[in-house]
Amino acid sequence: MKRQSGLAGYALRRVLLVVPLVLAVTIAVFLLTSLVPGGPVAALIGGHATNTAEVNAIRARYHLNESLVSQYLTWASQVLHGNLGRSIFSSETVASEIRSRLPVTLVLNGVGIFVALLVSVPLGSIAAARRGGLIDRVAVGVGVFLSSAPNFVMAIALVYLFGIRFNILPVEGLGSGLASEAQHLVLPCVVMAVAPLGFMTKIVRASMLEQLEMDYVAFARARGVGRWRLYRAYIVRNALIPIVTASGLLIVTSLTATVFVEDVFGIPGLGQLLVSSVTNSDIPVIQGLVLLVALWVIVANVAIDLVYVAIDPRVSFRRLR
Amino acid sequence: MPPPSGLEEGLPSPSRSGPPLLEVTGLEIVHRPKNGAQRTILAGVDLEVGLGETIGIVGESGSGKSMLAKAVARLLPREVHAGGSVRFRGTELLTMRKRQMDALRGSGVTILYQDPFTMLNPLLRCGDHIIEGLPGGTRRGRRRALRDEAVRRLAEVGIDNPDVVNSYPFELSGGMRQRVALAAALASDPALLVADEPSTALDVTTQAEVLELLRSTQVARGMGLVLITHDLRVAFSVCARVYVLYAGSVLESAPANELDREPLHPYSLGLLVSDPPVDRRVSPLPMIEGSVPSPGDVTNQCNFAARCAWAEDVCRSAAPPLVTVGPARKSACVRISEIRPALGRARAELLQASPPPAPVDLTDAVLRVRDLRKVFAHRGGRPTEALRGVSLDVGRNESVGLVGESGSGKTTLARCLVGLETPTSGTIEIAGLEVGAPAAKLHKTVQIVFQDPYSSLDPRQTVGSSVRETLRANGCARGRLDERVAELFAEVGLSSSYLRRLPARLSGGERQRVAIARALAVEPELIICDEPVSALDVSVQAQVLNLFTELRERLGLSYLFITHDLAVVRQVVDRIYVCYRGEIVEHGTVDKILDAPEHAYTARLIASIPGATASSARPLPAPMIPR
Amino acid sequence: MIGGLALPVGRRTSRLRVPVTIVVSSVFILAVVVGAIAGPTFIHTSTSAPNPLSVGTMPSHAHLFGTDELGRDVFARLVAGTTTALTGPLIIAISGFAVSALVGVAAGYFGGALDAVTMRFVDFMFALPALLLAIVIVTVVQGGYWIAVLVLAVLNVQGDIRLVRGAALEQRNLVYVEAARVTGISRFSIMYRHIARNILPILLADFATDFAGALVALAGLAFLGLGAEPGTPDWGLMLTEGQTVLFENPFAALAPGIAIVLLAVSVNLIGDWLYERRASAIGGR
Repeated sequence: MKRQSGLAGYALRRVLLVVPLVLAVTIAVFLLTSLVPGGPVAALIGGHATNTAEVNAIRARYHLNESLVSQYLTWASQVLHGNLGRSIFSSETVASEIRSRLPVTLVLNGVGIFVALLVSVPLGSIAAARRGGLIDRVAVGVGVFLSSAPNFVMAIALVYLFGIRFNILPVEGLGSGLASEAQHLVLPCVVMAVAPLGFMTKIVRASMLEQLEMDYVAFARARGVGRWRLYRAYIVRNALIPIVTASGLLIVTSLTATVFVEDVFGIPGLGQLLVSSVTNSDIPVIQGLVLLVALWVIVANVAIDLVYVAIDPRVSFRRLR
Repeated sequence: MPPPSGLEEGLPSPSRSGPPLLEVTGLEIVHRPKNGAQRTILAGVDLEVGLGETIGIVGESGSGKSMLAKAVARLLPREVHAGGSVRFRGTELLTMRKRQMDALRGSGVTILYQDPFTMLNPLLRCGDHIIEGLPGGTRRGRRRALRDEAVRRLAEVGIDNPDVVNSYPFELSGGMRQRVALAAALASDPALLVADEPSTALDVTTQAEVLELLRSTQVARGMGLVLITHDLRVAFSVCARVYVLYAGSVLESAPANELDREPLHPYSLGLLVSDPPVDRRVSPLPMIEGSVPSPGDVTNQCNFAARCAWAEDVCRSAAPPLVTVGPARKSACVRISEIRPALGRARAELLQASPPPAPVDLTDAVLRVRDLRKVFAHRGGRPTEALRGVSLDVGRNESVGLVGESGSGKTTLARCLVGLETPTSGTIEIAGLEVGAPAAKLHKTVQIVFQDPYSSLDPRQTVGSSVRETLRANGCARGRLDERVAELFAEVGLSSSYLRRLPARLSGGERQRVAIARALAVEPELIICDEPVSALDVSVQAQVLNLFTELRERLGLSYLFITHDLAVVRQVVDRIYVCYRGEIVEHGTVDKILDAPEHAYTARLIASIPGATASSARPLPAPMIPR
Repeated sequence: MIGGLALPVGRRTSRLRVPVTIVVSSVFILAVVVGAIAGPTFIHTSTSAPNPLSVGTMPSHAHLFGTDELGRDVFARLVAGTTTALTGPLIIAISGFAVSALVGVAAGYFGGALDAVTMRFVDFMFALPALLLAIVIVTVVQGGYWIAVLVLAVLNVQGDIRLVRGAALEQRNLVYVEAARVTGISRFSIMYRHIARNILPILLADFATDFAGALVALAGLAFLGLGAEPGTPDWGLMLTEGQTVLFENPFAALAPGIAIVLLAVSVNLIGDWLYERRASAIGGR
């Protein structure tokens, strides 16, 4: 019972720890505009201020004449209300730009990570169980090769193979209609899955091998604990800890991969929005995206920490002492 | 301690009807790495365990005893292969189908491992470790009944608190974990339990409890028990018969009491006498020269020949067979019939008691500790008081023992003395200088020799360079360095051929000699010896202890000898302080403390020594065991 | 890893077996290095002059990997690109090595405030998607290749510090370090002779990981048009520019892509190998 309340307390504390981090991130994002050569005005109007009147209008509109602190507070309260400003380029609100592009990016990330885990966990486990065998060698090769091959190279290779050489899958855009969209997303999803697959195969194999060497696994074998129980309650359960850590990293790196994949395949997602806003120096959009990504990363990290507590009874115990 | 089962009848194995429970013949274990040289671990071992019998397998590091245990349960690591025959109730195990073998583990054969801290699954509650081994324990439902059974099984191993069922291993002490592990091993009611050093990782008093528990459950259940240990006295206290294993071969097998009375192999004798007696001081301690070879290095000769005082050409011309030398007794010494009387005489002479040490004048103390306290703060927790007002003195050229178990604060005290920890309050005065202000000067007068010679040397630095660096750091002139390094190595009995070796190529004893040489390089007045021999093989311990005694006489050193081992303390110190829960509970001369302890804790420590009462020449006063 | 080469190592008689994959990787890396150093002396084809008469031609005797969208020789550009392919990643890996060796070891050894501050920084950086951040920063400050190298060097260092600090912390608690302290060996000696020497395999393996990661990251930035100036023979840039003639001459894009993959895989293989050997090298117990 004591442990239960400890768990809730731990979770609460873990979430509270995030507050200063979020504050720091918002400040950094806010200050992004002053990093731009030419200062915030150049940033906000896209670099070509024409006359003093326009500059003054901008300064007034964005409260640029006030102190930095009050500027930040104004900006932050707007952000809290979902107002992230307007894109300089499309003059749409940043919020609506993000909203319309979020789904396809989520699909790419979700499917990529899901497929990667679906393949790497069994592959890595079997490789570890049959160490030195054929599957193990395949897994080691897959691990090194796929995790080192950059996704943009992989994407171009696939475009060439399936789009040009054999011409069996669409390689550009999203198409229209569910069936067409699904078809268009096959290759991008494959690319999204490839690197995480390699990386996770490495991790799963290594952590399973580590477990197989553990004293408690040997002792369980000696006691006649059944093969299935041994795998489920001993090996997999303990190996899950490093695997969860790695999955957390995956959530972050996958987001970066989206940028390249959407660029090569011409998919209108957040990655493409970032690239276009970056090339157009569309600072408000960049701010919105960075904020979103930062929150995404923070939430992912907190979620992973909470998963630890669920898996490992020692975590909350250690913190409580 | 009551005599072990089977001893009363004086029978080697209590039951002779039908095949023995376990019959090992010609067992060979070989390590064949994929790329690397093949290495023999066990070279043809025969042994037998009767129904309900307890046997001991005694060996030092490299004897192959742990691999023997694993081979019996067919749990050898990768690239290690077994040949020969292992029969369990008449059925061959080595060629048995994998699936059948899986089914046999648990209910047939089970191994209990050494380290309670790594043996249990950290993510599984203690109860689940037991339940999964119970008949039908993995089936769903019946949760309640199974839990009740787990509580009963915990009670069997002396854990009366039913809540332990719901605890995780990390919430329990080492002794408790070892009990839980035993309950887990017993859950499937094995016919044969192989216990591999089950008490070595535990504190002295807990050790004795766990051994007693093993013995009593073995009797109650009538199961076969194979106890694997490096300590002959542990084996004598639990086992009916003992096999002495050395570098992969059995050198002697005999009923425990007979082996204790008269060992019939020079190695067994050496092992017995180099384990220092607790009841008297022997000076110098008898010792076996050299160190334990790795099996496979010694072929076509007696494994022990290189270290044996009685070895002759016959011993080096062929591997001697294990032959019957008496009722239920076998020895692998080809010269045993010639040297038997000599062995007996040697034992009596070697263990002659020496006179007690002369008292030392304490007015000129090298070390003076007054009311030392050390509190460790924990973030968000209650602070722990490691030292609660400790006072002690070490006189010039005196050797003082500090005795206690883990958690008694003795190691914290040592660390405070050499400046690795800062005491919370109290004073330390070394050679007339109060410690605290000029910390840099401290190491010049006091040095420490750590317990673990495997980690106390930089693994990537040659041992010569290690000592050299210390000399340099302490202002030795560049021109005199080589000379001083050679001197120091000679001082600790190492030839200069060792200078350019890395620690990995030295044995434990040799590394400890290097560590001592490094401490001497500073030319200290006082050396803190923190369990300096407890990680060493029994046959090497005596060498290092003698070295300490010699150096003290030759260089006029003073020692503070920290240990849990009372037998060691008897040999090398003049006075003893007993440390318990951060306080000194008793102090006095060795003879007074060990022969007539006043504090209950001291008495309990003495009572925990395996076979202490059984083999004592002078009976000890009845121990009061506080509960 | 079927075969292998046996090399005698040092004074010891034991032989070190080097797997074939490691040999092949080393040879490839060597070839790239040779290309970077000696490339200009044996490649005389221009890498920048456009040739409108032979745009996107397939491989031939004249052009080993064909030509790109401006008719430039892909092979010559590939060889010329070795310089940027090696320079940036080397700088990033070396700075990671140096900073982590200095700060990581000190933080691990001293603990306390230094460690707390370092770890706060590292933890903060850890939560950031480095490449994404690099994309944003390089754009915003409108920097080129060297800015990209600088930004990646800063973003990369946290992982190195974390790793080295952990390893140093582990060493710090080993008895040999305490023994050295007690015998009066200076802190500097303990940290940068003893500890650093013992964690060297980790540092080297980490160096390899850094190098491969930086190679991919820089190529990625160039691929997005950030970093290398348009027109320079940079593998990442060649990849993105070659896309336009993917139909005519796929090698214009695939050759630099494959070069990146091979170099990254080779370096990673050697890094992994170094790391795995650590256990067998130290395990003296």
